[in-house]
Amino acid sequence: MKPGISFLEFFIAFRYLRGRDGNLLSMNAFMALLGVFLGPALLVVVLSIGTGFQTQMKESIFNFDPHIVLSRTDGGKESPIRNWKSIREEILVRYPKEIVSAEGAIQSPGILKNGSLIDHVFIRAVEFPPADTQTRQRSFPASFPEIVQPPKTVKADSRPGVYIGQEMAANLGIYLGESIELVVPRGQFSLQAGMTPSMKSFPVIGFFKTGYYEYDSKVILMELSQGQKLFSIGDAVQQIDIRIQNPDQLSNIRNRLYIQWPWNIHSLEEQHQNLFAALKLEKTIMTIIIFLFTLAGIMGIVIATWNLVRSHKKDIGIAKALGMSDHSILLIFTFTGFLLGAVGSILGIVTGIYLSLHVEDILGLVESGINTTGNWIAQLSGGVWLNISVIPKGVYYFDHIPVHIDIPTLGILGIVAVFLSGLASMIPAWAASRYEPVSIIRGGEQ
Amino acid sequence: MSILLVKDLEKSYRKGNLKIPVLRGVNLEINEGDFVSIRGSSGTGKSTLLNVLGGLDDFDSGSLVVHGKNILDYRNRGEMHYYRSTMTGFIFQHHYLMPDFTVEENVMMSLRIRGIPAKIARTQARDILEQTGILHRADHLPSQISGGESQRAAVARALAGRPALVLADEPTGNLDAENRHKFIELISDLQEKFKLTILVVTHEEELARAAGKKLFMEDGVIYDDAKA
Repeated sequence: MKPGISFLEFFIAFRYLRGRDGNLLSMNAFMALLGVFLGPALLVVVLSIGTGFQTQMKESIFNFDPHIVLSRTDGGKESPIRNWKSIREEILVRYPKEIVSAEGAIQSPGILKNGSLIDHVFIRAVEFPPADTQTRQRSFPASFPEIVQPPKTVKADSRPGVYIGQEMAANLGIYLGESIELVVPRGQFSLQAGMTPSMKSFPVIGFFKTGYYEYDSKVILMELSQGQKLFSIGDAVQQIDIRIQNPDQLSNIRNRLYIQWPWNIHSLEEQHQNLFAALKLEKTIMTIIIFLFTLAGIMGIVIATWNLVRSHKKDIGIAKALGMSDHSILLIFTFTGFLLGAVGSILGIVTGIYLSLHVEDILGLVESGINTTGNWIAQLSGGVWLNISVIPKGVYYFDHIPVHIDIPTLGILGIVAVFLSGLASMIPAWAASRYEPVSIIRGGEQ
Repeated sequence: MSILLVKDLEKSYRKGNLKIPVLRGVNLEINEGDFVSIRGSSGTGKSTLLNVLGGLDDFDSGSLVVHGKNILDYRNRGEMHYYRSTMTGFIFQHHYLMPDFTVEENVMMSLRIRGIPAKIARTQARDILEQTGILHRADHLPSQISGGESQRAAVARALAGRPALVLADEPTGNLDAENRHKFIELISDLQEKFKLTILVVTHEEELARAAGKKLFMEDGVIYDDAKA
């Protein structure tokens, strides 16, 4: 009788999971399943929301910011690029597939003055697409932030003006059409006064939204020609903003451009070094959390299988006395652990996906439950209950909880969980296979 | 034909540095169809002998041949499970039925372990359950039947694979007088009907008397009961 896999081992394993009363699952197996189920379920929720946040943040930055910035310095000072149009053409001809766009731009910190309110802002002057002569509307490219005001149904004003982030508008109480004053540290130079800042007034012609709070509260967008006047640099630009097709090629293209134009070249990752480092750290922490969850799941499987082994110790002795091989015993308990792990993990992952997709509804229910209870207690005690928000919108900048269900990662997670379940259950299963039947039988009735 | 041939079998247990001899040169020969009983007081090594013969325990020296094959050959090849499933059938003092499985499944288990397909195993199991008079309890769990019925089911399980040697260790030890009597009747009938080779160790005078060959064990040595 050579070791192999027969239906008998699976039959016994299933029966051990089912229990003695003909239930779907024994209490022992149910508790073990619950333990295994919770890990992947919570993990999927944490992973989906965490990845959702990261993806949204990266997308906001990637959509709004130029991927590579080419600028020039002369004697340690920034030097305007006068032949930027020919450089742009050359870049586009050299990299027709890799580079999507190359635009002249001006970026600088500045000061916003709106009545008595003063705030530091970040001015960005880029080429706006020309307005249609008949409709007077502009068709902004996808890279341009979403214009939330005026609504798309209202004709855009093609008069000179600036777009500001919707958070800036809300924070500083700026209305559409209202004029704001911008002060920049570049103006006319005179021998008597030196460099005088340049100050100009601009009407606000729209509000935009990137989804990234830092931008929506600090950035002002204007047409390049207005920027050139504000910064007094004629028809030159301060930098050439380059957008690429594939973000994975960022470093490669940046290095190739540097060979051609050995100026100041900064990629997006270099400009947001701290942020990307933080995101990387966050990912590392998430990986550690995943590892700990997996470890907890494995321990759950080991404990559950060990409980099954202990509660069936007498059976193991009898089965071995009847002639069951060590191999079969190993297989029975490995299979029970594997089944618990597989069913628990798959149920956990599916539940996790469901919870992730409905996380806002669930939080809404939690919020309304807390507030209803709070109001009820307040009414009884004659006090006042101030409604709370589980995720206050004023603190967390998003109008919805970003969720990213990464199916390939979850698929790998499922496969690894099932594989590890089988592997983990082999430890108690191996111990069970080593039991000496005589020592169990000698122990008498238990 | 000799089914069991034991020569100078010795076994000791160790407790620290202390060596406690249990079997001190057991010699025994059982032929096919023999019903042999071994009596003796507690601690004389009866159960240990049965465990050794059943392949559940090791021995220190001597030889043990079952159905013409030396048990050491199985042990050396790592096939003791094969020996247990094909050569011996065990009836314990307690029935030791598996509580998660029905009576029929318990009996089938010993057949399925031998590699007999489920359908044939079911037919054979029902047949032996009928012979032992508890077919009507086939679908019951061990917890749903009486002690006497459980022991009958244990007999059915031990005999199901028609092993070369049936070993019974105090099989009536947990039964009341009525069930004990019924059990002895059953085992005697089955032995006669199927020409079973049975070795039973017991305190019970009645059961010992039922056996055709009566032996006595004292201090790890077997004597003919007539000399006792």
